[in-house]
Amino acid sequence: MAMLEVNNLKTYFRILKGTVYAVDGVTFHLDRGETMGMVGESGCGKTTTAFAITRLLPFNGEIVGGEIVFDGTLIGRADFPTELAEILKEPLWLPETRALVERKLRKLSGPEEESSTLESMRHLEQESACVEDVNVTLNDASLSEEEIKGELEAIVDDELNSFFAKRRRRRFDREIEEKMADIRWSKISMIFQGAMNAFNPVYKVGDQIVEALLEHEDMTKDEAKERVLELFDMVGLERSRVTGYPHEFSGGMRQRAIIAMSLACNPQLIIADEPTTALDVIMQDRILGEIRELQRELHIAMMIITHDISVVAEVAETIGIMYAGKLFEFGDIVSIFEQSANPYTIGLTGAYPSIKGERKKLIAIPGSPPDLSEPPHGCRFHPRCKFAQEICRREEPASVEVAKNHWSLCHFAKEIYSGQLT
Amino acid sequence: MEAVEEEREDVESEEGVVYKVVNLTKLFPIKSGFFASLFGKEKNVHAVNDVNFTIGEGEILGMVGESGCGKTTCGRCLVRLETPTEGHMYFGGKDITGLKGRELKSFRRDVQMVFQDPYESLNPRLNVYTTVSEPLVVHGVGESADERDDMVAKALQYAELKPPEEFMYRYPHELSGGQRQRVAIARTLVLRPRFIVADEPVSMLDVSIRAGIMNLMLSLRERYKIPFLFISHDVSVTRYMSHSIAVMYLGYIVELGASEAVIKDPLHPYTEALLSAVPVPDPTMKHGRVKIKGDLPSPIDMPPGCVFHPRCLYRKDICDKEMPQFKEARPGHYALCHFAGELPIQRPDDEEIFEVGVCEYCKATIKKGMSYAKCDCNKLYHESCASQLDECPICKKKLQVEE
Repeated sequence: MAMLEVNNLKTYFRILKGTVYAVDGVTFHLDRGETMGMVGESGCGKTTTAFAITRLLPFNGEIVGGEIVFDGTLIGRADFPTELAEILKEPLWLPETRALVERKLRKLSGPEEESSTLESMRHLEQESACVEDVNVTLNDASLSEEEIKGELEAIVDDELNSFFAKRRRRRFDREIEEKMADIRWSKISMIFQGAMNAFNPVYKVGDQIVEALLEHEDMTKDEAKERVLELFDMVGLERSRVTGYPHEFSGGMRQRAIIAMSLACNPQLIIADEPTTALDVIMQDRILGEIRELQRELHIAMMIITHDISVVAEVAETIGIMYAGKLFEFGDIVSIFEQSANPYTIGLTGAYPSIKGERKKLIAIPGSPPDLSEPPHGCRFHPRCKFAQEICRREEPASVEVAKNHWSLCHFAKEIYSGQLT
Repeated sequence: MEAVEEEREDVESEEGVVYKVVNLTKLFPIKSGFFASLFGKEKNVHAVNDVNFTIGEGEILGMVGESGCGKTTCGRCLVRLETPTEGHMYFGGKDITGLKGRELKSFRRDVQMVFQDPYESLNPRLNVYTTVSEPLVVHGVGESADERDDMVAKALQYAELKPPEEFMYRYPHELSGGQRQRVAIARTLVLRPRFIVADEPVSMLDVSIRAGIMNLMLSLRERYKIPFLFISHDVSVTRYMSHSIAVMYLGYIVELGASEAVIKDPLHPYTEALLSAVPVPDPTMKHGRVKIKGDLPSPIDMPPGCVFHPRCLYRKDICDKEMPQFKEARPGHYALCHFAGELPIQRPDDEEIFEVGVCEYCKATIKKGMSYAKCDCNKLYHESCASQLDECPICKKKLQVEE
């Protein structure tokens, strides 16, 4: 089983104007010791996906669908009424609601181990009344579709706004937050975007790592200090630098210190958000090489989020291409680079200059990425796609597995993969 | 690839030189306290050192280097946003180094600059029309408002913002990043400049939009024969854009030549390291990594002799004593190195990797043919590192140098 599984994750932001559909149905998995590259343009939901996994979303961000399972533990999911409320807004609400209710009922009646996760039986039981209500309404033959929808909306509304339900959900959030606090940093750690500025300027770098260690590990201060020295050796920083302040470090050194910090508690997964973006090529190459070596040594899985497809090509084994909140292509990196099944990926790789081989003319993708508060209907890439047809404007494509470990979100994935459409 | 080189030759022989830079040097004095300035020596940041190059009609010169290597300062000198400390710059045969007042203003009509960040280089309170027409007002170009309208519309069209009426009265926040950069380009084009400095014009843009802006600049050059100085830290982008490339390191141009020659067959050890660090967007291509030691030295206390010697893999005795000449090692291909053309430089397209491994002490590459020490624990050390260490820090055994 994969170590990290993200199933149909949806994360929306509520803003004054409405809703930003930042991550809208992302499914991928990551194995132990594997490196995955998440590539996409700015504002396509890469960082939001990472924040949803670590549950560091800002106050207006919310997981409204799907689940995140880490190491067999459910660490993120939407609660039933919220998920249902979002589904009811979609045109295909009826079959989706049925599928959701079925899944929930199966979990309720299922064997213990399936639900022996963060989402404890208690929470499911508390939700079960609501699930039952919805199930009864769905199967009521005397009601028309419109009436069913009305009924469901009433149930959801009640569930979302009633005092007891609100209190229950707050408690549920708090419990997940407590569990997450254990997992965060000790099992999943993160290298944040702009890591150069991630250290507090008024504390010594060493002390900041010690603080993280004391928070998460059961060790004394001296042990923690010893561990920091070890970590500094590991990432190639001088031991004497432990007592330095962040401003005394150069960009590359700060980046190393951040990597040391992310390794502090022996995590199983590191999420690196743009780890080398602010660095020069030579420093970038060094840091990437070091990350790769450490990862091999310590057998850590890694998710590298970047806009630079060539960085991913250097270090990753699997790649996910995100566009407008959706994962357009996912799978083995060589397969995707050599035989892509998605027009967006083809566009991206065609727009990238290289120093190898002949000088090729670059082809830009026309237009610009959509505003995620009003994504285009149908396929989100269709306004910029050269293969776009009637169906693309009308219907959202489903993820197609074109080959083993290679998924593509496109109506014509198979045709593009086999080369019939060029 | 060959077409580009041929074009460059045509350009040189037929139309002549637009910009000629001779011994350009720019120092920034560091402010020190009163007593320090009395007793101590004045210190300077050596931003640009003794730089020479020419840009021909319709040529794009790419300038690459790490941050802090002086490429932006060089570009700013060329449009006279900075006044050089030493050296001369000839624009169309005229020395513009010390221009002042009215003359400087009329010179600035002819040279324009595109800045890095289109999110910051456009005034958010001015609409596109005002932004693009401002240079016209400043320089008093155009007789009437109608004429100016016309010029603005044309400039927008050249920058591929079509139809121009649709964009003219928009504000920057209503435009995407790519469109903003196009407005910035239209602003430089409206005066029909004879030379443009583009300072990292695509580094803030998304990949899918970046190619569009690059192609736009290439087509502008093709159509109007405007020469560019293209400044970028991204070697692959610079290769795509330019006819010739200048590689900068610590304020010096260490290598200069036709773009394909520099990329495919570099002469300078720094270019070698730079090229081998560039990530390649193809997971099946693995190329040799030439790692150099250490970090960029401070531009305040410049190393003696060759500026690159503290990090160079091929360092010899002469390197820290004598400053090398900027010599033409191959026709039209210059390098600032004592041994230009004699070193076994790895090329990006080389299949074979000419390296033995990585030195455990200084983390730099050990190349084939270099003498090195191998310890029993399979760690490798450069000869120089081994003599410094005397014993292997890991297994504490005496190091023996082998050939």
